[in-house]
Amino acid sequence: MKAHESAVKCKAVCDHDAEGKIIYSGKAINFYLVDPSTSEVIEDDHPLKGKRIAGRAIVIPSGKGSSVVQLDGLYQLLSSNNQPSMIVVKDPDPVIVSAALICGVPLISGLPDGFLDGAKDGDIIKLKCSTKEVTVVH
Amino acid sequence: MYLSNQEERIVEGENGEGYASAMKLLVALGEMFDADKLIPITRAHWAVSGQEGDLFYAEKLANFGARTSVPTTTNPAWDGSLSDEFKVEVSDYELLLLRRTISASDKLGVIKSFSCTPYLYRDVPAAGEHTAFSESSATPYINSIYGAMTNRESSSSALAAGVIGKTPNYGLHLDKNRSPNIVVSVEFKIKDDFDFGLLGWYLGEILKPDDIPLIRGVEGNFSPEALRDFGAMINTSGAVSLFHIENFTPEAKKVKDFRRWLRGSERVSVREEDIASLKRKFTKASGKINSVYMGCPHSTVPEIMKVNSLLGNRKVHRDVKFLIFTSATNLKLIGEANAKKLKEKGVHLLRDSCVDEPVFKFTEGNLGVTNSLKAAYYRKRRNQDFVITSIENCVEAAVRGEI
Repeated sequence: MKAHESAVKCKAVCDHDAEGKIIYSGKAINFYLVDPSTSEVIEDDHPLKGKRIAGRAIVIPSGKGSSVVQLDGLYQLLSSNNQPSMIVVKDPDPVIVSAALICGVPLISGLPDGFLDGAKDGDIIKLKCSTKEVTVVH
Repeated sequence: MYLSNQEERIVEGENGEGYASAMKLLVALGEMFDADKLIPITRAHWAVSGQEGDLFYAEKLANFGARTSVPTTTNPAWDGSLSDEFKVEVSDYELLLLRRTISASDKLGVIKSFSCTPYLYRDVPAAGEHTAFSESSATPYINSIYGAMTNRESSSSALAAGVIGKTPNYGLHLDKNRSPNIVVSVEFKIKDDFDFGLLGWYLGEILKPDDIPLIRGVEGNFSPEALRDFGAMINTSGAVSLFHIENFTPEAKKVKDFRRWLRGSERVSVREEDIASLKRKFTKASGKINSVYMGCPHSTVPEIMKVNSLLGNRKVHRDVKFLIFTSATNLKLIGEANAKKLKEKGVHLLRDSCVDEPVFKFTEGNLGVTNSLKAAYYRKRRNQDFVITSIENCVEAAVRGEI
């Protein structure tokens, strides 16, 4: 195991440091379609269907869903202590940013292109909240 | 993002925890989306849902002193008295969520319009007005049809903006971000409101999130209902908060040189067959029906009166619940005499309610008809299938009890 060469700056909505094992999703996620009691993705045809996201650093292209369901989905996960440790999102939208802030789940965006290239499921992402710096441990 | 001294003091809690929570959300959004500052808004629409997550944030504001500072209207929840009318069991927990939503709304001082179409008749912004409107049909309508300005807001960020009276200055609040990036050519004549809604659904499926289409080849005097449905559908099957229609919407009408206005060179065309095949997909089921759902988004006064005249002297089949969702304001406008006629014909006019609420579980498991793709999409999670068709066909099916 070795740390990524250097920490990079990102945009982050956070109130604490966080780290978690990466779980990649090629498709947008709607937390309303995640079972709060197990943290298993239940959306049909989703690449993460059947996978658990509790405690993971979930890496997604974007969020999706109406102006309220994303928040309710994440809130239900939080209520069962099954929330992801952080959300890494390429194209954030106000709905997923609001949901993350309200539920106290750190959300990261604006990583340099290619920063996560070579990282795989199970590698660890660390966020230092005060400086908004991200490191990947391979 | 720049914050004034006064705004910073609100973040730090000078006005209490409720205002601090509201301000922190606006600041987080502003920083994520590169806003330079906060700008004043004149009004907000809070797409309150009565769901727990939504309520958690609303109570965090309401119970710690936050009050709205600009007029803030609300989305529908459900009318608590309906469980008696339809003799359905609603759990104590569901009722408690409703009561807490109403109580938080009262503390916050919002206008409990309980309607998803505040932009028709009640809460109408002018061109260029900065606002914060959540709700999937409201955002595209006020941006596109009125030329007012709002970003795609979450329910919570619209409420926070209503409390602070400001919103972060980014996205669709900036003129330069409102020009179209893709041209949509419609290569056939749109027949009616229903087909226009289908076009919206089709485009939502093929456009990318936050695309701003310029729609060409549609003519017309679109009714407010057609425009409402078009926006609701394009923003349910997809994520489009602003569209322009050539020679029709205000920002498109102002433009003299389309080539300079357009960003990028993307083009798509829509053929008659594209919409026809979508229509076949949504109308293929048949058989006995147990319900008609109209009013997602909320039905207007002319639509309700149209149902009355289409029915004439006929009655809705006894096995069919004909439900029309609308606002309390519209019910007032229709008047008691008309409401009574509709009731005698077997039509239930429902106020304050959304189709996607637990109280309507008595229609689950069987086939319904609706004029709304959005209603069908959301109720599918509640185990109900629909034939989606025009209001005229909905009424005929209601009389026959089958489609």
